[in-house]
Amino acid sequence: MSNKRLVIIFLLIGLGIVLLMMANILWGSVLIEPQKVIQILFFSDKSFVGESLIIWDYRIPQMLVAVFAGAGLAVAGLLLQTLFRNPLADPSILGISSGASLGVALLLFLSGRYAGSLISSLGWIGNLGISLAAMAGAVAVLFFLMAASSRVNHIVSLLIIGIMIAYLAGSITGLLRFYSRKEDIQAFVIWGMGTFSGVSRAQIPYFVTAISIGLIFSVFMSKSLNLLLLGERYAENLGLNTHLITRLVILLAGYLTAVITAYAGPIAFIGLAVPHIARNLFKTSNHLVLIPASIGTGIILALVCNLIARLPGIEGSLPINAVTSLIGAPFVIAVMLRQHRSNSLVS
Amino acid sequence: MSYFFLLFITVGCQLNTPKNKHSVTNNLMRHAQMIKAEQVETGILLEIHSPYAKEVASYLLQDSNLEIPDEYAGIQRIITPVNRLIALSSTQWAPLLEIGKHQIVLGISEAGFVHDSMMKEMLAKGYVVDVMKNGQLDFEKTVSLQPDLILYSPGPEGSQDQLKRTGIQLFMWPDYFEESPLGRAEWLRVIGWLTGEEETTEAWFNHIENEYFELKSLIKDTVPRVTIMSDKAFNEQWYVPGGKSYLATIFKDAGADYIWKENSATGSIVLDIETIISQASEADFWRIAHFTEASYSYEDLKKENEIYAGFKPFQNRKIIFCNTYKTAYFETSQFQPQVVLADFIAILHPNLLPDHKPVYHHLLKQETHVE
Repeated sequence: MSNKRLVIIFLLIGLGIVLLMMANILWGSVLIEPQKVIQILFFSDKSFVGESLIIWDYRIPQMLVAVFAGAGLAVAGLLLQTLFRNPLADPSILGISSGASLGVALLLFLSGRYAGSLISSLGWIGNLGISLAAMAGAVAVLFFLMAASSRVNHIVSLLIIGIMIAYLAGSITGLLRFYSRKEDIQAFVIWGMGTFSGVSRAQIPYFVTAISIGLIFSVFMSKSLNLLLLGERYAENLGLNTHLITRLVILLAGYLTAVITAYAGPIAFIGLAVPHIARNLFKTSNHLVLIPASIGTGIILALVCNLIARLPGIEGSLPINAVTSLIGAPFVIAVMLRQHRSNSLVS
Repeated sequence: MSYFFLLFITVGCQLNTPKNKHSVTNNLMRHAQMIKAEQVETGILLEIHSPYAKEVASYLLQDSNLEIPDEYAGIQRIITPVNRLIALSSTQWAPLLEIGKHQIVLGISEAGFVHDSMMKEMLAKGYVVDVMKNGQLDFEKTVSLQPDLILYSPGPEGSQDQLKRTGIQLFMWPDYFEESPLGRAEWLRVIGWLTGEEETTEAWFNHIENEYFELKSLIKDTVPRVTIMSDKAFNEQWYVPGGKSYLATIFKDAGADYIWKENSATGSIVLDIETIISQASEADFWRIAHFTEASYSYEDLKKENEIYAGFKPFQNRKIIFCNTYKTAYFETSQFQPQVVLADFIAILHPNLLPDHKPVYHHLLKQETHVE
């Protein structure tokens, strides 16, 4: 692909992101006139108390979570697909999202059962919110994976271990759920649907910084990732410390997934689909291009889904997980079919 | 990795609540366990226990022109009468409608399950907004209503984060966790204090209390005891009311021995079907609540699960049925524990209340598809 075309596509993606960000701020379940939105945004007009709270404390945090979660999940997916050289790898495959779910289930179901004893006796830790419990569960799985990665020699073994952890955490969650009170399950079900609106304005800086750090790191890994694509042995012969890179990739992808799942719940599909879209759009396997391309595409997909989840006529908002697959899956299928056709044209 | 701990601390600190300085000594509540109330010089002091933590939420209800005394400095103040509120549970708005205070209700939750015709009309005309669907709060609608207060039912730790973010004053309402029927009904006194309709609600509750005790006194030691079991399987799980729950108390006061009366749970417990069969299939009566627009019969029950047909109360046609679609059970029964009790007494011991007309619960009729 020529550099000129590359620049044009990136510019178009950038423009799309800006437009979608604006649309996300303008659109919500309560109608606020565009003039009012502009006054609230740029002139910090204090006369609209309720509207200003909605814009600054709800829509903007939600939009930012969509942007950074979309970017982070896309990169995590790309990293894992490259590492495992498996197009079906995604952030949930290592069991990190399942670990987060287990953390949340433990919090919600045990805080109901042992009211006032177990959880409250932990002092300030007893005040942990859902996001903190999810983080704890995800980090626990991540540490286990890191430990496992130094013991196994083959990357496929690690993949299997990850999938087994996912099953294990999933079944413990299922057991907890089975034995918990009907009333306590609802909060867990809602968390499992995923949402971009769960992060408060005060938490946004931490979320944005945490994801940005991960994204910047990933760019620095582009060259090593390009070598990994050639195969483990080959990369080693070229002087790459594959053992170290494997651990770094897992740490980075796990870290991104853990932070996002903690704040937004287990968001499916973006991590799996975006790398495919990016690869096809840019027709390259060079990670120096693919990483920013995945970031851009991930942001667009997340923002579009967030917008669609709050379409007019829909009471409340649709669960994000339902929308991501609904919108993304047909798109990925179309991309694949087109790719197949162009390939056969070439051959 | 240290970054994680930074995140831990920031989230953890935000959820801390201030400690209370004053506590209730002269409790006004007679039955409710989750709440204590005291008439103090400058208003009414309330202490509400969170069912999910050791925490206590304290509120001082007072008139707008009164000063806050120093000793209550750390306590949340609510200016009464409250004129604009969101009531997230039907047990909050139903009594407000009953005492003619419908105009202060701006928002409710789960409008799809509303039974009351007046509330349905208010929703249709847009006077009241549905701010929560399937348990998910619509942040934007909630904030744009600009209420003074949101009455909410507490959930597990962390599940109220969205509510807290609205910045609107919250009032915890754990009436659902009251074990005794009179304790649940007593929460309507709080409605009176919040709205300045104290006289009406006090008289209302006194009436409920008197009638309940009168009915309960019908069950003398000479009344033969009958046994009762409860509920049916839902999604492969069979929840039954715990031995110290609201329904267990009603059963006891209506002169029935509840099969799981020795159990110590105040909420519901899950049992497997074999346990249920071994312990309860020989019970005299079986109470079932079911949400259906259609009629319901023994045949319908059998279609759900063949096993039900083997239970003695099924064979003897002694199933006590409550259709939660056709009756306003979840909205109004809380403030009519005497009616709920009367329904059960009339079914379990028909000679004690021969003229009673069933309101919420009735004996499920024979095979015919009638109510």
